Amino acid sequence: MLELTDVSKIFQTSFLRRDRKVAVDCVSFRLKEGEILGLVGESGCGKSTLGRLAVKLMQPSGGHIFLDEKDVTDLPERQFREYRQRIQIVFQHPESALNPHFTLMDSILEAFYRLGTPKSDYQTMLERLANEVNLPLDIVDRYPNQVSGGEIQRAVLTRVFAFKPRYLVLDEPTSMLDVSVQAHILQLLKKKAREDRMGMLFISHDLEVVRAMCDRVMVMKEGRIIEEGTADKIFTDPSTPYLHKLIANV
Amino acid sequence: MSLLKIRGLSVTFDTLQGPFKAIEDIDLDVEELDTLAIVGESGCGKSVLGHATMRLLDDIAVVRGSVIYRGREVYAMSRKELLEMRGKAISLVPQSPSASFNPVIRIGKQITELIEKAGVAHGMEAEQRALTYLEYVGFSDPHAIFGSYPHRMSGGMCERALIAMSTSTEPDLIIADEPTKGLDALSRKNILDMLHRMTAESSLIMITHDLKAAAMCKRIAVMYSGEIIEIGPTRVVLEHPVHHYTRGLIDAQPSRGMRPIPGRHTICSHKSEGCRFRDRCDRVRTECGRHTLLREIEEGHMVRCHYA
Repeated sequence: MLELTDVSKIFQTSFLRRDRKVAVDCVSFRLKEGEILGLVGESGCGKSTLGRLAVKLMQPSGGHIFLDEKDVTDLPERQFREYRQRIQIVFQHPESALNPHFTLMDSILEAFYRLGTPKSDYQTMLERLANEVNLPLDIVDRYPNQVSGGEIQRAVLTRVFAFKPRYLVLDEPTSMLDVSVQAHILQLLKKKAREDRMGMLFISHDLEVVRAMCDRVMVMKEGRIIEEGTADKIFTDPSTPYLHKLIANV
Repeated sequence: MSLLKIRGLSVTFDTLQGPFKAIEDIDLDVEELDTLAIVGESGCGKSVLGHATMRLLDDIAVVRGSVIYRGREVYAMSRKELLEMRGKAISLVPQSPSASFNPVIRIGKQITELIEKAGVAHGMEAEQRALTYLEYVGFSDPHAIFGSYPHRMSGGMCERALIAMSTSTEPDLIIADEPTKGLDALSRKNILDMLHRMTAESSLIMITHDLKAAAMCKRIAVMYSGEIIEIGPTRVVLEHPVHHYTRGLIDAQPSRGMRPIPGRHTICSHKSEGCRFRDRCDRVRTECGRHTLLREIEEGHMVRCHYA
């Protein structure tokens, strides 16, 4: 289980005046294996920051993060590394997700190298993973600017799945993609959650996608979780006026 | 007389792999106060069509065919006439709003500059007009936006400012390229409401891959691999799609079961004869290898398929 308790993140926005912005304000949630947990809210509400905190790309200003019952909040980077493979993140903008100087193949092989896979297994592993995410092998020699957004997102997933993560944070993984490509990728993620029991934190502002994907949904506003419940309940019987407004706009 | 008449428009880019035809043989008519959505997957040529209409591709591509705006051939205009037409008669709201403004000039100055260049108003009057339009697109404090730099605004704010700029000259036709891409539900709603208000006085071509957003237009054209494959009244096309690609797009929406279209959209430079969707179509037959034209199946509803 991935558990966050009273996690906060405060940014100092100006050095001299010591202005502070509370991006995430005492948020707690639990993500079970095999569960897809949605996180919705308008831009600037702190949902991406929360996603980054969950994978410890940022150090929280307060609160605790537990990964499979182990408090990893203050683990130094070197010791956190063994946990990092268990929790991975996929970002919103495919064009900036990969190193532009690496071909898709290089980026994927880098993950195999980090894993300590013997070189002789690279090819079979690549074929197996690429087949799983439907990444055509004839394009892996290209650079990120030579392939489409959907293809990059598939390469990113190939790389992520190589680590066999238990938890995945998806920060708007399909908001830049076409509807058909989006359907492909979402179906794939859903299958992964069901079959491999991967727990996913699905961050999105597209309520329709969230409704189709998630078991449970949290609604975030100004850094706080203001509502939480099963997807059905949230969408059919929203209790806060804010959520009413969000849903009415779909 | 239609406002815009496109006949046999083809755009070919010269790439390292040889000539690449981005769009081929496009025919399109836009009437006064018409609203038309152009939908399709990335790489299908919808943005190229928008840019070619404004004659923005002269330096980088070979363009054939004709674009007639109010009876005048855009591809025969002098540079002076073109500059007069762009911005004043036809406005383009480009993709990626934050990259479209000059980062080192304040928003207000950029809008005022366009108004003055178009000769609509000058000096204080132009500034006043810019402020009015910023207010019109929903900014509660237009003075603050007028004086701020693009990097200080969010994606949704930039998009609104860009629409304020494009409409401040009261053009006859607005071409909006992906106006809702990457925006959250509330800003998306805002932008669509605003575009809808604009259509009271202008025609609109909205390029998008968001079928929900496209539903606000009167007509919809579906593009695949550089060709228009289905065009007709929005309600008819979205409720009773004929071409299998249109059906696939509709069924791929999360609310409609999220069924992906099999295969992938290949952008190839050597387009063979025949239906371009046939590799992915589930009712493909031998006839599909033959070239087919857009055929009218009922009034205003045209489909490019042998079995329509």
